[in-house]
Amino acid sequence: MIVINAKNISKTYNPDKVPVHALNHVNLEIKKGEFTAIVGPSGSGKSTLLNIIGGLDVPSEGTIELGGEDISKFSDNELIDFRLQHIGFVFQAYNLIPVLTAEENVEFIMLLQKQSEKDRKARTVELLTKVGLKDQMNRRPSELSGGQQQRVAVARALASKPEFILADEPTANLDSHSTATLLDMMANMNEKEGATFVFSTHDQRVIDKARRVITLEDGKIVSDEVR
Amino acid sequence: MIFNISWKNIWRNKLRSGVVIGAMILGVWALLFLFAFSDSITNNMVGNSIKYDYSHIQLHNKAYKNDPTFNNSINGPNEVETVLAGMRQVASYSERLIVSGMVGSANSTQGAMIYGIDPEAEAAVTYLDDQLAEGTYFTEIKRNPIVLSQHMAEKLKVRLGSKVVLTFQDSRNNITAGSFRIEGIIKAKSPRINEGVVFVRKGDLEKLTDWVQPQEIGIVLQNIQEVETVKAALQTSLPALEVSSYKDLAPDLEVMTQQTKISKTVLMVIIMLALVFGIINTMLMAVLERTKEIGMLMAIGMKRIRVFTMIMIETILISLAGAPLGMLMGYLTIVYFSSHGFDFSAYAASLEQYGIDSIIYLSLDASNYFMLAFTVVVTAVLGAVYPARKATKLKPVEALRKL
Repeated sequence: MIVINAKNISKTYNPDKVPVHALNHVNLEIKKGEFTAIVGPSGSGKSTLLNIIGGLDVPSEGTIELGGEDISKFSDNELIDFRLQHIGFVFQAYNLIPVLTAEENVEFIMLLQKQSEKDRKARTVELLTKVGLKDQMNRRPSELSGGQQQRVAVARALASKPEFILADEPTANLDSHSTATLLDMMANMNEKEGATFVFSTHDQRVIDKARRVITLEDGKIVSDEVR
Repeated sequence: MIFNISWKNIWRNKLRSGVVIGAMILGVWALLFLFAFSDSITNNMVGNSIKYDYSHIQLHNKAYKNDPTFNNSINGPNEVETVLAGMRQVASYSERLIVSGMVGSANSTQGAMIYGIDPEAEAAVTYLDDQLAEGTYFTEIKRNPIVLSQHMAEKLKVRLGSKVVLTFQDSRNNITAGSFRIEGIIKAKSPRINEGVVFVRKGDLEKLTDWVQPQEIGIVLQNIQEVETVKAALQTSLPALEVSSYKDLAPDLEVMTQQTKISKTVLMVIIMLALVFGIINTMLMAVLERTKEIGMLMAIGMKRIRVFTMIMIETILISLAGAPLGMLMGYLTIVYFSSHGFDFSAYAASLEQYGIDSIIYLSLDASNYFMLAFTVVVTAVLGAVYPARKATKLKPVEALRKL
């Protein structure tokens, strides 16, 4: 079942001044539960494509459907709501809320979803246990290593039970051991939670782990390899 | 949780937040202190004028104001006395026979208003006996005693026991004079009395003027708040007389009170404006520092209205954190100076001219605290709007790219 369907997506920055064509007529279909890496050199359009898939950016041309809904027609508030209910984000720089503990960071998104306290607490403990940080749940991000912070970020991304997890260079700031741990964990969650994972990366360790690798160059898909 | 985040965000940069909180404490404390100071000085001056001069209400013949002669005295004072005796709000009253004349000593002559009074009744209305600096209050000298102010005594170069001659027109328009001996010298708290009023017994003045009807009746009420009610009631009961409250008699007192209110408001606006800009500056820095984080919050699904609320709460919290402490400090300062007082003895001579005591005891009506609390909240909200709007204008995808 196709859950992400990008049709003829183009993105041009500064169209009136010095136009930069970040994406050129990209067509992409991703099925439910895929573990996909979008790879390519810097400036190839990986992050732009991921941002458009995640509803953080709007295409200059084309449409993007997530779970059958054309999000390119959504208003700003509808997009925020859609992201809250359907998409989990993992960022390169972790982007946890520094004043909250690991537990509160994971719980926060469920609070935005207005889940009950009981459900929030149970899900938080479940996820932090899965990412191996149950004992660190009362620590703030500054008291955790980079790898631990990114594991909290993954737990946060999964907390809302999203259909899609979008990760922009999730291992860029991690050492080998942390990267391996994180990838195993995400692969495991991909299987157990059934969420569709899409990464942008140029980390070979992530590419090796992916079951589908889409390569972008100059804003165009130049290869699409399913393993 | 948003409240929780907002509160924790305040303490991310303790020094910066501390400066804003400190400014708020200082601002609120300074405002309360200045409010109390200006109110206390004004109240002291107005209070002294009412207590020691104008009293709460005065009765005159309707023509007396424009033509202050014997013919325009209060007709039928017994009827007036009956009305006043029947009003429970009236605490005391004093009938005055007033003539304009000259006070002469061996050294000097001064123009003066000569008040013929019943010493006991006048003491209950203008507390003349309390203001006595030297001598006695119409108890020792049997024949023609006079009480005058220190200022008048200095101008006449006389002292206790000295003789002065009062010269004035009697009721038949003949120039008449009487010799009086100074029994008491008062430290008058009313500038008007200090400058040019002398007091003699009404009976003595009646003999010299050959006139018994008073031109003025000063009235003190049980409660100053009842002035307007009693004034209206007296006007109904005594339609032939002009009933004037202290506000009518001394409009400058009301002007002074209003001026103090305006000064307080201007002062408050200036201090609050300074605080608003301080708050905006601090919160803008906080928002700009957290651009990426705010972008992340919107990316993961936090609506702009919630981001707005979060920054609003944060700003209001940082503003309100200092206000109660400032109020407490202000309150304690006022309490301290309400019993110890500010000693301005060094400037006593200047202050006396304005009818202000040399020691000012601070006091502040509770409504000032409520008004200031309300203003602080309004200031906080105003200071919060711009940074909060700035935060909601961020685009997640651009905010996330910020370093």
